[in-house]
Amino acid sequence: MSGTGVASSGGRPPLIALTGVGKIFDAGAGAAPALLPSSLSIADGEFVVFLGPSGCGKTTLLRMISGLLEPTCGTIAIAGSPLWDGGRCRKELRSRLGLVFQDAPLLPWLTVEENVRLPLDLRGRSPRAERQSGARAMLALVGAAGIGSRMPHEISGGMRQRVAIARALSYDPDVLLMDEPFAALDAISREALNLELQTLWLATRKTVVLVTHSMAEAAFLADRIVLFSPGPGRIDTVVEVPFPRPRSRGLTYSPEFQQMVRDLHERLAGLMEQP
Amino acid sequence: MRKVRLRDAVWLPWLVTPCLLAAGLLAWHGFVTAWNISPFILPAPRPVLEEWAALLSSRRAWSHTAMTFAGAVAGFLLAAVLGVATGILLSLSPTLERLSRPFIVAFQVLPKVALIPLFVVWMGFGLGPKILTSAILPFYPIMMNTLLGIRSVPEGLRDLMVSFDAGRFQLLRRLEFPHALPYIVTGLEVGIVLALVGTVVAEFVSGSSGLGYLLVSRINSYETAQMFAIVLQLCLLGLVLYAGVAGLRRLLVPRFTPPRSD
Repeated sequence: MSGTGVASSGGRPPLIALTGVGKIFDAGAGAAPALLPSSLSIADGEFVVFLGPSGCGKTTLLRMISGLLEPTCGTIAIAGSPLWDGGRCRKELRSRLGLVFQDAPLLPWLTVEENVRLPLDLRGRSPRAERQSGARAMLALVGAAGIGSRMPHEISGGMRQRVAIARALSYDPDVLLMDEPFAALDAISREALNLELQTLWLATRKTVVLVTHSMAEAAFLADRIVLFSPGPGRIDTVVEVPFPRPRSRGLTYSPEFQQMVRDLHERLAGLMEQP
Repeated sequence: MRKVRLRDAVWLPWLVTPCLLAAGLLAWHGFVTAWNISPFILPAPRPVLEEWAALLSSRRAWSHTAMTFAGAVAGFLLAAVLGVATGILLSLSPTLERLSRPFIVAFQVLPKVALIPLFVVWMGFGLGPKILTSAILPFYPIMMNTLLGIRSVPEGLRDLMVSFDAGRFQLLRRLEFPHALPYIVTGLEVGIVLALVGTVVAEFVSGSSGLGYLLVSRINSYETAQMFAIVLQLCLLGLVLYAGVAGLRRLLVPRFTPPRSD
């Protein structure tokens, strides 16, 4: 398999187009690349999962698409416009990206509702009353209605992550970029949130890019799985996931699903054994 | 709400502490009588408390207390404003912080009370040297705590604010300052005590008023019991000042809970 994976998706124009995007930290003698130049197209409304072991560059790539980390080489285009412009992330494109971080960071001195409203308050484009009702609507959408006046330390890990998703959706971005959003949760909560995320995605049809190291999570959620391999980090293969939507918990017991998880497992284990 | 045990809530603070205090006073009294200590060296507790009672009922003593209070508060406020502002300024520019670090260290290791005679040369024997001394002592801990508080903002929260297009001022106002507030208040708590130290030492050297001046003026007349009483009065003043700043914490950091340690 080649070091760069190129994949297009069924004729639809790509919302996110990555061309030769790579990253080297501390470019100097002996610096190992975190991600070899990689290309990938993600269509509008697609659910793409980045899957791979630690140190394979999947989070690095997501941070570059998020506008938090500048690529060393290559271009990232959102709806045809380059995201990075002379070392700066372009603001008008950044507001089309909604970010959900791994440990659902909320500001501890703000209420849940104020946290959800924060992006709107910072941008200050709409009237205050509109922002408040918008934040409440988002909380209701993610199944966290009625906890708006609580403080972040008073709610559970699953609720925190729902709030973080509501916050990312509050400014109606086109893309949801999620970095191991449910990694810190217990298996039961994680399963419930995966189901809810699918429902949310089917309702809103946002483009989602989700990073995980769980093969079952990837197979359950994704339209396409992008497999990463380590040392140095690169895109290995892109796997289409054929299961019809909406996917239910029952699917995860089916032989087809089990076979897909087993294939992913074999593939990743094989990658780890390579020198 | 956690239940507080009777022993911790009532028994320890309201019974044991006064008993220990009484035992200490008794031991002091016993020591002075048994060894027949001269009252010029160590007066018995009774005359000390009598002198303190006299101090508390004397208008002149209260005006000295007020002078010391005013000096400490004025210096403290100056240090708070300048300390927080400098801390924020240094946090904005790592280059500026690196450049100023040797000077800050040099200033910090200097025994700052050694500057009081210079202040007197520059500003005379008025309030000036007093306020300046009580400002430069707490300046460093307040500034350093502000800087540390801002530095300790988790990277994840910074990324978050950046992803919402927060500008530099918004980052400061919405994230860095609220995050640093508990650190700053800790700096203020250390600072208020240092401000009182600065005021009293300045009064030793340059004052014609204040409790520090009153204390030094009792040396020549060997009024040791009065000196003890003034020390008690300073202790009272320190408590009031500290309680004021501790109350500020409740006012400023009402909803704060410590961030998760992960």
